[in-house]
Amino acid sequence: MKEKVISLCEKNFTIDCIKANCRVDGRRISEARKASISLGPNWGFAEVRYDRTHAVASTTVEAITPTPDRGSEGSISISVELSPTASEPAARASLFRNTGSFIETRNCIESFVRDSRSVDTEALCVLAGVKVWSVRVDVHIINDDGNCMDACMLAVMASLMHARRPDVTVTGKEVRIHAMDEREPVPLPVHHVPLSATFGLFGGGRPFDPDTVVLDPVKTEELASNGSVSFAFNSQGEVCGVYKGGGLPLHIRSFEVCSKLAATHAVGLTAILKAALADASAEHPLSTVRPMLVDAEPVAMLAKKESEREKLAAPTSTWNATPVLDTAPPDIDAMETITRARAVPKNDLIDGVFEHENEDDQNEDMKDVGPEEENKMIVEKLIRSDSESSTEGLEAAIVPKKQRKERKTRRR
Amino acid sequence: MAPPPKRGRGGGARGLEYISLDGLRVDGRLHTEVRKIRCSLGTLSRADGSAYYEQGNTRVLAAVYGPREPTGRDFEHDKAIVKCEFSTAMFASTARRRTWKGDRKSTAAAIVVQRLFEGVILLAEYPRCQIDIYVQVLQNDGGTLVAAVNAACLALINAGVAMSDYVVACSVGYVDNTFVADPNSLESGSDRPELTLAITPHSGKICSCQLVSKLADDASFESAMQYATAGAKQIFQVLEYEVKKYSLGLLDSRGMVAL
Repeated sequence: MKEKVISLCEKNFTIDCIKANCRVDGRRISEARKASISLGPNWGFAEVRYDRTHAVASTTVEAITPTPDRGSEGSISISVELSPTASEPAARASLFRNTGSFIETRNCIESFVRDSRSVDTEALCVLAGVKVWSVRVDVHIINDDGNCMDACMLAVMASLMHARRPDVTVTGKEVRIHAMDEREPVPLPVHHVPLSATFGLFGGGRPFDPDTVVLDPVKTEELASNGSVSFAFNSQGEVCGVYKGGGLPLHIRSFEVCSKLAATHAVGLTAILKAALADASAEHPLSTVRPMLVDAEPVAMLAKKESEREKLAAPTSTWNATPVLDTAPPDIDAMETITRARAVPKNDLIDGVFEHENEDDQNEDMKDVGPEEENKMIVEKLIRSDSESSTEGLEAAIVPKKQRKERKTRRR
Repeated sequence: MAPPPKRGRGGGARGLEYISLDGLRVDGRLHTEVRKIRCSLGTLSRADGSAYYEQGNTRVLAAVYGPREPTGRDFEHDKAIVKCEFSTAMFASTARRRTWKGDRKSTAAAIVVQRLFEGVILLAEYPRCQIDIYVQVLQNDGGTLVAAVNAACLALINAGVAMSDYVVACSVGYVDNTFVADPNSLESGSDRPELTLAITPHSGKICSCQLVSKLADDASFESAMQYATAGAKQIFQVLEYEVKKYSLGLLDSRGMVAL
């Protein structure tokens, strides 16, 4: 698919904006758009919006007879479709055939989800050699306003987390699949949730030119940029995949800064995802009859107390705290917080012999925490450092509706 | 860089010991060592630029046509377009393959090579042109993408296409809790982490980077990058030597230098 060409004026304006440390839509260099997720009413149906970028995903689970060479493994397949409504080139391409950058997105998402073993395919086996579950995720990009990659990735993971499969009973060699209304459907074995952050690359073409990296590019930025790089992290801070298919050669330091930013970004997105899941299960008609399998997410990180989640809620504004600029020195304080928090060796934390130059109360609480907690600490610190952030608006995005209501009544 | 592998660990997925007690790998290499590289430029007479590249038992042939008039309908008025085709010979690995190009893996590799060289070739020098890169894998013993990138780089140099720098690729595997540079097909299993990195060796920038499967944290990702960079630098020495030798040979054949 040949991408739309933008005019030189538009292109130069976009590049000049970024040189001047701002964006065409008024965001900061390392500020992502607000992601919103809505789930349901059907199991496994997720709708993700990154401002005007809009993707929907749906998961279908089917019991199939496995192939002989992989008798004890289920399968997961992901297909990404660019709907003709997404953009003018997409409409043109759908008349012929989809090719080009779009294949990259699909390969990339598939690699991030499958190769990082986010869904346990062995747990998708009902009876070895007889029946396994085949999970299929279909993503449609309804509107493409840049960064389809992240929107699709979030849609895929939201859909997988929300999806349910029918319950089964196995007696001997007999497999009985219960209808969804007969027995409560079971969530899929999602081990961890990789979420991606994509950066657009800007800079001169010559070898020693400095480069600038912008988080979550919109379409004009995407078209004006020299390629992109995507990082997938889960909330535990594990690297689940990196993809840079070429484009502008990037300085190794910018690369490292990107990866740190992506890790923080993933924690924030996970919080939004978790809140959306809680919302969806509260709104489900069956939830009034009896408690649902609400905390289906096996990720330990997600099953946190409400108070802790509230603290997490701020990242929408805080992952903006560090501008990724090779030219201008980044926000040193925020950067240091990240590196300092990460540099603390785990053993020291456990032994409690951890000493630091400016030992303040924030570092005190880090003594007996694991790596997941550590991430949150960083987020918290960033929140504190970001004086402009208003918690009121963010609360609305993150805290489930039920709790919001409760809190309002309490205030009265 | 991470410490060298500890001794006495072993037992891979298939009961195979990937790193011996002496710290040597299955083919006798150290964990930072890349396979033996042999390459030559200008191997094909009809192509504008060509190269043969061998990395251990992985053998690749690359041909470059262009810059030439676009064959298709698309072209850019202010720069050249790059096209790439990646194909694997049917006899390249132990099992005979049905498809030899256009399958998912080949397409993905072709896109990577294409995007990679779009960032390095000085495209603005060739407006309304097309540069075609054809990569043919003759024998596959792991690291075909790495070999394809390195071979394509040599072929482009042979064709005299203007580039801002060399591009050198190297991959890093992770077996027995150790990073190993340039894994062969035994070491790069389907479910083990593998990082493929392409850098421009003079400026040390990252052109392309793919990580599959997952690594524990940022730090191990960074150390994997260091392994890959170190590996790429080893490969670069061989490539540079070969290019210099070829260029001197050309000058000599025209009586411009006395060797």
